[in-house]
Amino acid sequence: MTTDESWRKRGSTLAILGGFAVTAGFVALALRKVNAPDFWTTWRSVDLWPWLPLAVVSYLAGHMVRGERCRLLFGPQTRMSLWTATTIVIVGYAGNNVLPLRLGELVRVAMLSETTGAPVAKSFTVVFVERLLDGIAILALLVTAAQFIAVDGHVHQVIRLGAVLFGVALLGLVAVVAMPSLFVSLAARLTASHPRVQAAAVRLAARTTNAAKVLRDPVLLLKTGALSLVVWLFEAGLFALLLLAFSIASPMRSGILAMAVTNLGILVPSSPGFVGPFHFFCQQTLMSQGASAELALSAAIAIHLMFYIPVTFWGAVALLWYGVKVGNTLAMVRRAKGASEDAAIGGVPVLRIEKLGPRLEVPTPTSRLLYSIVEALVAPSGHADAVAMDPARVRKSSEFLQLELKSLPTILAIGVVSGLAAFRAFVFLTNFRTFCSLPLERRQRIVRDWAWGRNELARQFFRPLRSIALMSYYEGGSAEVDGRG
Amino acid sequence: MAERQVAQVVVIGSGAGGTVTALELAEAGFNVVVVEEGRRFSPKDYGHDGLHAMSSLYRRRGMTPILGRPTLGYVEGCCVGGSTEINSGFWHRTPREILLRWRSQYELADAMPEDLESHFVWAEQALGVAKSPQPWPPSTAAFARGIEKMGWSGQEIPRAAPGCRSINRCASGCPVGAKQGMSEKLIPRAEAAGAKVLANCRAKLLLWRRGRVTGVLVETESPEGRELVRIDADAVFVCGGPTETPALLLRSGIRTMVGDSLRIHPMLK
Repeated sequence: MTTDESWRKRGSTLAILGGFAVTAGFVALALRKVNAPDFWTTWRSVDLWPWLPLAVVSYLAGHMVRGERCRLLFGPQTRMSLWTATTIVIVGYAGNNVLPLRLGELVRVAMLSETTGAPVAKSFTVVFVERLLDGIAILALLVTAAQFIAVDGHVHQVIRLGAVLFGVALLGLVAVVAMPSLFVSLAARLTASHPRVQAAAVRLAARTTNAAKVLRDPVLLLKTGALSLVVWLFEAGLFALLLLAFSIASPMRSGILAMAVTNLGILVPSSPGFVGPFHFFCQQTLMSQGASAELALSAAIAIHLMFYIPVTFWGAVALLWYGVKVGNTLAMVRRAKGASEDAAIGGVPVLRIEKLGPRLEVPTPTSRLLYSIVEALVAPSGHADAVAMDPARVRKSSEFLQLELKSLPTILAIGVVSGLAAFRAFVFLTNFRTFCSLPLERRQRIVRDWAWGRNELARQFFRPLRSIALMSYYEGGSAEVDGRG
Repeated sequence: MAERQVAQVVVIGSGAGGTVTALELAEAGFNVVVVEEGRRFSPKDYGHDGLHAMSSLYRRRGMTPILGRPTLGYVEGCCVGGSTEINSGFWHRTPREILLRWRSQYELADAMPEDLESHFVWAEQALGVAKSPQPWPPSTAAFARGIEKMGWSGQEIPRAAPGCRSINRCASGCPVGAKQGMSEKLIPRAEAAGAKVLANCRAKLLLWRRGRVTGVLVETESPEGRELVRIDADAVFVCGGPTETPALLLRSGIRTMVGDSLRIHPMLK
């Protein structure tokens, strides 16, 4: 390890240890005035229903609004669905919950760039603007709440500190938006003595100002500002609903106050998940509203758990899925650039990366259920005598249908499997027999009710089955069905 | 060791877009390789029943619906010649209002009918586009009488099918070589000009170096088995059709303004 690497590693370790030390300090402060037996009594007596699920819904709704705000800030050229944008926001929050020093924000930047194809500078600018808008929205709510509730001196200190921090950041952003060429030339002048660094710095400055220019639109600014307020009102909803569970007075006003002070308080670097500062600031704010230390800490713990668990779970699942997707692509790229041997295909020189082995086709016997459905679909109405139907053609049709259904994209295939399972269960529950064991006429009636009945979902489900069954039975020739997808 | 030869141009897809691209470049003297995911067929493989066609000529055996309200049946060809092997050969010049919209929406230059006139003429001559020279089949005649009685306006659409015998097997591939799928004339022309068409080769990823696409990662399939190979190129044209082109670009990290502008024209029968 080089000296630089060793210093970096030492620095990281110190930072992490420092974070845990801060956590320990704030936890100690939070526990300072807490009586343990009273604390457990409070926990046992709390009634979380229906407040807990409502609180989670409120919190997740806030994240969806964050997702919408992210889409607005990226501008119309970047097509990102609300679901994708929300998931990326949540991955960032989940990252902050498990990584130190708010590294979740960098995870979010990387994921935004990879998903949208936008330069990293643009993603970074958008995340920066979002956090700035968050800070301003929280301060605005805090100042508003402070007009209606008596607050302690420490709240005023938090307001002052927040105003300074976000004020400076806001000034910087205004400068970038209003005077982009100044920003770029500043970057060039500061790095003039290092041409290579200068080229990169100018490129970064140009991309940042380009990304920030969307903020020159006053309508967009108003929309994103309004959305930011909505975001934090939803988060205040998380606090307020859980305060109701703990029977704390004036839950909405106390919730806004506690939300604002806590979220400003967790700007203090600490361990992943903001354990310590979150609990301390939340507890202190609730105590300033008359709650006992035990009640305030209990509420703070409950709020932190709901702040932590749903988002971390959603983020972990999303990151796993994303990692698998990106990992597959990266693995392909690595293989493509790896060792290879010269070869030729059809006279074209290629580089052989690896042999993949033959495609395995596992023949599956034709499902009895599909056979019975196809028979019911293709038999003419009122036809009670199954012998008159050509069983070989019915079998061939059901084999063809089975191959067709196997060729569906995975998500649709899951839908079909679920649909068949639901159909089978419904028939059994209403007839006390399996579909396959019912006489043909009864099966025809059931299939008709599903395929042409009032239930749209059932009609949608049966439409492809019906079309394929009829086509394959009445139009299919004698040629062997090719099993290749 | 002999210097490894780099294909100058790789064209992904052998449908309408890929074949004409390959033909133009091959006739201009470029070294062209066409990578096609599907198999190669001959006229004797065409014209069979729908089951046979779906299982051999269609992507995912024809199971590619567009979900929505309503759900639309959508199919693509997956064979040498692409969807031109299974379509009906209908021919439309791009309407003026569509071109106007594309010009303003996508800032296209040289995209008015006057600019495209020579290209339309070329394609119409190459494919033998014309209205049917023969009397209409009885079903079409009955349909035309019905339109007239209803007071609707109707017109015959010209088709790229000179010598059509109204067998009505277009969706299974034309067994008499009347309908001008790309495999009928233009792919052989491209091959005669030196282009090489590799069937059973699926493009999995575009490969980059320093902001330029330098090749394609391809999965090939043969009776001996499957292989993963890299084909290096000076230029790559992605002509995989309206769904596979954006899919490949997105997989390969090209995301801006990709995959969000699919337009189709539904056909009612």
